[in-house]
Amino acid sequence: MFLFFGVFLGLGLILTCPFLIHPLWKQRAAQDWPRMPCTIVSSEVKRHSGGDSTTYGIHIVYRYHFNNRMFQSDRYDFITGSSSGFKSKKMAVDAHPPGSQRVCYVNPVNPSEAVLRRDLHAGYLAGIIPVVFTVVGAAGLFVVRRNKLNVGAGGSNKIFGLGAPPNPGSLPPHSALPAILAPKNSPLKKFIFFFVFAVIWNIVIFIFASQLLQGWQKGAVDWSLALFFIPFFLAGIVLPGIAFYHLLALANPRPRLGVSSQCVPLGGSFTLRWEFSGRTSRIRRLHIRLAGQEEATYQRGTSTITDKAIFATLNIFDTTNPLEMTSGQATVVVPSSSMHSFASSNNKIVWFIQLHGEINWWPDIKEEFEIVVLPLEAAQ
Amino acid sequence: MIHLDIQNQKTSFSPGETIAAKITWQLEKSVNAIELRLFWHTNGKGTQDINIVNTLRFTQPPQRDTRPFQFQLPSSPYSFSGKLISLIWAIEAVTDPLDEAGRQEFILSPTGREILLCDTFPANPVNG
Repeated sequence: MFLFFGVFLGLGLILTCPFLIHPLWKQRAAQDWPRMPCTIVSSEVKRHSGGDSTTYGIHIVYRYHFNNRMFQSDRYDFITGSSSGFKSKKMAVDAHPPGSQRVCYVNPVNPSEAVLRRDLHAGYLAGIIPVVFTVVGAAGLFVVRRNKLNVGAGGSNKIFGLGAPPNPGSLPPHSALPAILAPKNSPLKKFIFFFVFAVIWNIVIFIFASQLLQGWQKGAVDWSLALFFIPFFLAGIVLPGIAFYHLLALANPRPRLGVSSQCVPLGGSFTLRWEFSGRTSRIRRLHIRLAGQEEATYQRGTSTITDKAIFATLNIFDTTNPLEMTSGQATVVVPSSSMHSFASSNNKIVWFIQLHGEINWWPDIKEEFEIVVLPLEAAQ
Repeated sequence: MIHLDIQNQKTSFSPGETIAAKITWQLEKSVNAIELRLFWHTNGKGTQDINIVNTLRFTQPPQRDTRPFQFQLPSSPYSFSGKLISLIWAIEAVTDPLDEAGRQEFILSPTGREILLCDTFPANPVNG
């Protein structure tokens, strides 16, 4: 996870400099540059084709005199690179026809550097994108580091006197040893999933949106295509929201659950202990229950789908008292007349502990921890 | 024709119990073998899973005969039926080459009944 968020932070920082900081710094500096007359030599919208999309850049060459020397520049403003949107660039180019007299701003320290436009305009907003990467990377690193420190402080390790939480994959399948349970899907995994999904989704949507926009600029709008893509565009707005929701959830108190036995027979019992790290005072209600669930996986077209249905629920703990939430324990009796855990290639019976902490005005804590329920015969 | 008869017409077995039965066949032509299979399969929404637990093979069988056989049942999985999945145990006899087959289903469960996944259990924790 350090690597994942580190890459985000690194990319964000690297790109923020050329796309935001440097352009803004130059734009501010150019406010003091002297105003000089210039002659437009050539002006055109340059087209850059790459893959399925085309971007455009303003390319205006102009000549000016400074300290009795003639210079030539092609800097229109301080924005780096090209972008989609032809119309605004065409307007800028049309406003600077070859041979016309205009005004440019010359750097007195380095007169070979000049710019035609030194005001702050909407085009600079694109530089915010790398900042989003930087913020996500930094926030992710902060949360990962905080969680590691919490574990290192020994919080969960007190449960059943165990050491570091075991890797679930390394556990023997029918071990009756005490264990600290690993969540089925950690909040971090959920965030990464939705973030990556949202990024990929919006890249694809952006390509389609660019095509539609180009059609619109040329006066040929394909309304049926535009209407067809409306739900996809809306999903493109909702998905980052979901990712953001899970980003907020990373700041929640983290539960750690320990059980007296990793597998329990039907009709048997086990002791469940839990404790939280972080501010449990934020939790309004804590509800822990044991649930049995059917999971059926099948193919629909090219997609693999898993349907789930809960068939048994047992309340283990339910409180609104903050003092009882920080840590506690309960003895859980597995019903003897139910079905044991079962897993084949496409069909499963899964038992897990559901922990739900309700928090006002913030994403709830929702985590699931799988346990193994053995058949009666195997237990005997 | 292949026919499977479980002893005493029993339809339900406990985990680990022995299932005793007899197979009767009357074939129109000779086959290389008749294979008996103890297996379970899933039904329902998920893609079907099948697991053959044990097999018995009668090689070069006569065209008409009756033979007893038995299988030791494993401890799991139990027969169950839920909203999405059912698990069914059966014994099956097939000829080689495949021409005829016979099949008999039964229940494997400690309660003698298929486990129905439709109950919601009440809260019964003991808080420490």
